[in-house]
Amino acid sequence: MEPTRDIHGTLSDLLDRILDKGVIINADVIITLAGIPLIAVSLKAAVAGMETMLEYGVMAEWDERTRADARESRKQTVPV
Amino acid sequence: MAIEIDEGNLKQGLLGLVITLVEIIQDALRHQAVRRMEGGSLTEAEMERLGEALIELDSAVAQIKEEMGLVETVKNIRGGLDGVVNELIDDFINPQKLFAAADRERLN
Amino acid sequence: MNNHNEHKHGRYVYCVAESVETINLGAIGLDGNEVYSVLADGLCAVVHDCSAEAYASEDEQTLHRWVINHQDVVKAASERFGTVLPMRFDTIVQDTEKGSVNDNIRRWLTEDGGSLRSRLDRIRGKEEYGVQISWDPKRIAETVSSTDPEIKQVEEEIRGKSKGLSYMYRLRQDKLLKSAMEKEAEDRFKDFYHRIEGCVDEIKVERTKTGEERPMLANLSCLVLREQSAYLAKELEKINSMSGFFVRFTGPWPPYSFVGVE
Repeated sequence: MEPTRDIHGTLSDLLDRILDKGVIINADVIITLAGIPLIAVSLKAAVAGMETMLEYGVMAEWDERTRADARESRKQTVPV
Repeated sequence: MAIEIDEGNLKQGLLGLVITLVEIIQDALRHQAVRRMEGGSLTEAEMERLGEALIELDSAVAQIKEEMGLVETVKNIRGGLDGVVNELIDDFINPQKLFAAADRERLN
Repeated sequence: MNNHNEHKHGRYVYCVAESVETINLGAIGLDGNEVYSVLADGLCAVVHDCSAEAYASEDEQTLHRWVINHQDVVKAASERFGTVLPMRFDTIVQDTEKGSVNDNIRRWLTEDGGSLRSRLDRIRGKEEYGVQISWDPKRIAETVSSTDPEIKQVEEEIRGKSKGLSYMYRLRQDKLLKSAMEKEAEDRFKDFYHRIEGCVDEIKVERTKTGEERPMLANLSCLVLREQSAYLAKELEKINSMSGFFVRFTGPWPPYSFVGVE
């Protein structure tokens, strides 16, 4: 297959390369536009925390306890 | 990801966020339900009730989304969240690391 | 927006090349600026004069125009020099107390000469290609569901079950399918990676992109010897013809992905 060369069709590929890659000069003589995307770091951490909790079964314990409570109280509720 | 909330769509936006959180909790519940089921710690009757409760929850959430016109909003927020999570997970388990290690091994 | 013509205390750097003569590429730079080279120690920086301020704009069109322009200058320079190290967009060297802007460029080229040369050696005569492989999860899931024994077994078990129970079995089936699909993605990735690795000089795994038309399985940058991209093209043709898999092939690019410090 032939590679796509059309500049409009590959603008996103160019942006990926030119903004995030290429040689960077590591010196005090450089000004460069800090292209730091605004990412909600704390949100990321929170979401990841939940995933990890699930993976490591933190909620399994919680679930177990809830089910036990439900049985004891003999309510007609579903153990979730 | 940016969740844009202006005055005009504040209510809608908040509601969308709330329903999104409910959906995430729903996912967690389903996740746990399957784990219980696989673990063999649920009786058949418990499974039946659990299943029915989850169905009810599903349809209640679906109905609210439909009535409040939140289907698209929730979809977008979830899409954004998925993007954030994927990015994060990618950082941890980037296959680059896997192959970089393999490359080093081969070179040695 | 900046007025880059008022103060000329900055140099916008496009790329670095090996050279012993000063050249002028004409008014092909950003906003029509004159592009020329600053020489030191057998290396040169391809630059234009600007004020000591980053190029910044709220307007996406303007940014895109600059980025495409940067790329065009790098292309023109590599036609002239053969091999160039492309700089990241918006790299500007400025005046300092230590010296004028041109002195600073020369000092940088001299001090970093070793590293710049070894990076030039790494990419000499080579070009970069982008390879992105995506898949149609629905189509692949159909295949996986019809072949995975566990998923098929649950399908059997669901028959005749009450509403609540069959919902639970369906959840279990979804989970099995999800992990089978993850395994499939991993296996495919490894297979494609090794097949592509065999046709290229170097390969780099990039972060896959979300929000595309189809989920992306692999995003690779490949460094290939010039005129040898046909092997890669042939292998990609094979992958692209597999049912449910799609290849996006772009390039040749200046080797942006292979000039950074590892």
